[in-house]
Amino acid sequence: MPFCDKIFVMKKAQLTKLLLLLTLSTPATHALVCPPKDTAPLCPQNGITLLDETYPTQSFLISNLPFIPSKEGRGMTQNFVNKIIKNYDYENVPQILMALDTPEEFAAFKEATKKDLINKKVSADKIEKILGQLTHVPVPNYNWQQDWFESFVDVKTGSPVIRSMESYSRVPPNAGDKIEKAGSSCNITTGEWLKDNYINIGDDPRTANRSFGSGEMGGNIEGAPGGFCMIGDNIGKKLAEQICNDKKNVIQLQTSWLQVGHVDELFKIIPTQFNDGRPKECEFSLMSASPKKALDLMKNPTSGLTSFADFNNPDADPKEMRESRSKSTNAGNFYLCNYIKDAMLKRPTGKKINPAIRSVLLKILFNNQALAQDDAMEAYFRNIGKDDKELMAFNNECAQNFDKVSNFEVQAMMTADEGFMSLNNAVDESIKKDRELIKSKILSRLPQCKAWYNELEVPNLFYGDFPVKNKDGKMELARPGIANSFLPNPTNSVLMNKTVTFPDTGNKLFNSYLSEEMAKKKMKSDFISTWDYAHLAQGNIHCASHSIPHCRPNTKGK
Amino acid sequence: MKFLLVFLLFSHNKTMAKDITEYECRLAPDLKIELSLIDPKLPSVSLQKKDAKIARCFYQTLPSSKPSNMRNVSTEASWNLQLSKCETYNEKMKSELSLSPMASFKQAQGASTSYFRLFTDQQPLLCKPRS
Repeated sequence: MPFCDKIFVMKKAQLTKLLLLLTLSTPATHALVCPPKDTAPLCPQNGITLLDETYPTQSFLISNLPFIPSKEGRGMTQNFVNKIIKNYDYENVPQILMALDTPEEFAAFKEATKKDLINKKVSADKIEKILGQLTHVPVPNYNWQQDWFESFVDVKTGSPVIRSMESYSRVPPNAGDKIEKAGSSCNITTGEWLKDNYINIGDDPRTANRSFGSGEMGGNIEGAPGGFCMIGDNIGKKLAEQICNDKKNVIQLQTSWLQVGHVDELFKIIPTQFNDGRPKECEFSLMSASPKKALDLMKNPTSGLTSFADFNNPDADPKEMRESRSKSTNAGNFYLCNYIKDAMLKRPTGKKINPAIRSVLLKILFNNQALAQDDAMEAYFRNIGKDDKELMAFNNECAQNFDKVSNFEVQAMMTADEGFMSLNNAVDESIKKDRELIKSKILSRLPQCKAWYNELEVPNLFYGDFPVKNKDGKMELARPGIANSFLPNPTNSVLMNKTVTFPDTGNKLFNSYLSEEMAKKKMKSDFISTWDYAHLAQGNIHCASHSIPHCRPNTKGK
Repeated sequence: MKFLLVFLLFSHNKTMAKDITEYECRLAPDLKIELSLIDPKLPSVSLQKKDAKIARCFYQTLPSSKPSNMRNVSTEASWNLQLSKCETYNEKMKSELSLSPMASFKQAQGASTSYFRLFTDQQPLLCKPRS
């Protein structure tokens, strides 16, 4: 580039920055509007300060750090902001806190939001009000905004209290203070830090009731109706007491069999609007991950014939999509690619390989022991030791065929894989037990909800460690384990007003099922593409964001 | 002087991060399991009951092994391993201590704990760096 052009480009960039900053400081932008306290449900009265998702959100927090900077990854944050605004019907939009390194990046997001609203023909006055709800939090960009703190509430005021995790070292120690400052006009404050309950090398934390793995993170702490808190089995007893105030409020769930191991990978409470005469406090549903539900949907003789992968996604570049879904460096992609390959070979035109026969051969080969994802693994091993060209050819073939196999075909390959079934059956069993535990706990405090108690199993399939055969001959999950979900995880969704925004599973059949189930609960559904931003980095939209709720203080007792 | 300080800090951190390559886990008080990651492509496992050597086997590291768990705050590597070969394996003990064809190792640095999933019928074992 000639020197003069370089100067011109630099000047142009500086001018753009200046214009963006000027836009920011335009006096026409409305001041932040705080949510009304009197319409929120009453704050809990049992001493717990953690709210469940039936409480309204006062502020959303999001940053911008895609795992893969593809079109899909780069656009995720703006999409998230646009969806919040849309799902609040462009009115009464909560505060949107944007954790971004520089004011320039924030200004660019604000400008893009404005453009989107202008394109949607939103009135100028509304646009200014909406833009007034966007607040910059000057901290380094960081993807996992769910994990470094937990949001509690001061039951006397109903306002949020941010409590940072002492053991979390990936954000600056003053990040909580920055949130407090950005949310100060709506009374967000910081509270006592949540003290570390990990263990020094020595005793086994599993038997010593101490935290282990990624246990001490916000995604592993979720509120539940009746004044409960749901936490993972990888959170230590002393931390549980800090979070839940009293051990009577604790519902501890099996999560450590997952690679990350968080409650929000498996369970989520959502509000419902049945409006069928049930008490207001019973308007909720417990969502839980279910491999069985996924396989049942996929084996449906009619709807199962739809393509396993949907590449019709305006938020992503088709070429980049194929690449990020087929790269073997991600173990989930690799297993899926092998199922796809086998499904193609099983077709009348392909070379027939019976996966069941292959499983039997592998069992003999490996001393009659079950393997996790044995078919996929066997093919994986075939690739090891070969040169990169072959692996590239395998990836390319997968990229080409990813959307050419049906749900039914993929399901057939998965169910013929003894290792896959052994793991996923054990997952179903573990989640079923925990679902029963949650139900019994909630109904012990809300017995009036018994007739109305609602659950929703959402499709989710897992790969990872093979289960352990216990002394009774039953299979149980390995803890800690290395399991992950194949597709973006529906329980890792974000509630935006009356809309549940799910991560786009990339599977039309699953997405349709989720929409239909939300409609039954008189709720709306929305989908956001997160594969490159979060899914490949072992998280999703709930992990990447934070909803900060509030409640109505109970003044009766005063 | 500044350069020397930076160099010392850098080399110290580097050593801390990669130094631990040998671990010891116990299934029972008299049953010692040693894991060596000296050759990261072919980690070895030794089983020893009192003074008697039961097995010495090698696991091949699969490419799905991750140098770090992207969500963990402390450095945690996930090793996915496949049984490759056994130099020795006491025939009598094979059914009692059945090494899994697939193993995994969650390797944590610092104050965190490391776990080795090695046997088909056993939950992952807590492992400590060998002194």
